Amino acid sequence: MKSKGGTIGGALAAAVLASACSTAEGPDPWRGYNEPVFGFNDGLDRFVLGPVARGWDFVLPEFAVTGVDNFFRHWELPRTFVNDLLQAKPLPAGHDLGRFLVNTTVGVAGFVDVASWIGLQENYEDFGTTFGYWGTPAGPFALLPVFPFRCTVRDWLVYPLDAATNPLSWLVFGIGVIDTVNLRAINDEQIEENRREAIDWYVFVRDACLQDREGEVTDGAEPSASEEEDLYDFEE
Amino acid sequence: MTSRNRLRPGLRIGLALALALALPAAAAPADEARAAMEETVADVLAILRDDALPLQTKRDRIQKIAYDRFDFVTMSKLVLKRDWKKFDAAQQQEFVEEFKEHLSARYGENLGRYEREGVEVTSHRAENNGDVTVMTVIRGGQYDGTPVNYRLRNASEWRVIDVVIENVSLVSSFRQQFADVLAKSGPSGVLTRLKQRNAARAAARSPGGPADGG
Repeated sequence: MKSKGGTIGGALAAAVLASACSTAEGPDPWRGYNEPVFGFNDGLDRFVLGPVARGWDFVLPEFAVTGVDNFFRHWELPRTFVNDLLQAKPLPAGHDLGRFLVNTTVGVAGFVDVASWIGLQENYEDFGTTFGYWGTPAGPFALLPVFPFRCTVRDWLVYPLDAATNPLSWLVFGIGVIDTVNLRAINDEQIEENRREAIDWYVFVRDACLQDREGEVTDGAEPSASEEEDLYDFEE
Repeated sequence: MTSRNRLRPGLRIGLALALALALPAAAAPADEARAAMEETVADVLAILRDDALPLQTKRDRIQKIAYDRFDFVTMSKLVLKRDWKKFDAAQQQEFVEEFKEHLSARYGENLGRYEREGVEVTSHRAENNGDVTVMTVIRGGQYDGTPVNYRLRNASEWRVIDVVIENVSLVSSFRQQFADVLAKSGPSGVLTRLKQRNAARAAARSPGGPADGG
């Protein structure tokens, strides 16, 4: 699976990401708090992050933007590897270890994704997906101002673990800002189009984030019978 | 000509036999659905890759294929779920039309950005309720590796009732988005919102508006 470096995901969807949690009052019991925070973050995105990212994209050649993305995704692999093991998934763990070795060496510290060319595709896990995998519910949809990487209580709680297992965060404080700008640049067209076209932008982002995280936890496995019925049955 | 005509009955029997032999294998519903999707993907890619075609022609042809392959009525019913019944017959029809336009315009916008990506049909899965999910992956380009799953349902033929892009289901996304509008302003509010979006897009596309992305 493509990590958050991916598509509709991307920076704002990372601003947006989370996993589904169906309680009686729906996935968003804290909407009264979340919506103003979303408005604030969305403003930051429109007037600061978006323009900066488009400038970044204008200045850098495409291969550089791709290289930077490869680099940041690459150094997430140690964390993915640890979480493969914690989820008792030996095959993905071996795959990710191989990917890491190839791209660290032949791929020049991760800037070139050689591994994908030889069939070792991208894979993504973190502590949120591990806790989810072993049954921890995502909890309510929850945003924090300025920091757009998470969107559920579970994912925020494990955030320190996720940061601690990313070697880049040991080396340079704040290097993630470059990743955020670069991701925002890659996904600019999608984000602007979605914002323009969404029926309800807040709900769109919330649902995308929750579904995306749920999918990362289940690895796209068959949905449960009740989810199936909820989504795909209707009364005539 | 005559000799070729004489060959024809033999050919026909041969063909019929071959088909009869081939059919049992292909008749498993899941395989049928996958074959349908593979055909659609191949048709669309052929149009996209034809450099002689202007963008608008590509859009029109792909739209036609999409209209045949997508079941917009079922999609609308799934998106609105229980609320479908709150729409009267005319409103239901209006919703289907506007929703169809909304979806195809959004897909159409993306076509302009096509950069020789491929689509690989990777696997398929028979679902409990008889639907079939066909899994595809985008190959090459900016979105390389992105999984796109199509859920198909068989009502006389296999047609798409949901698209799941990187875990995000289109049906779920629209259901959630419409739920609020419905609660606040009912079916007419939903239709107004949809029409506003479609009209705004049409205005932006008309001469003098931004280029169409091609």
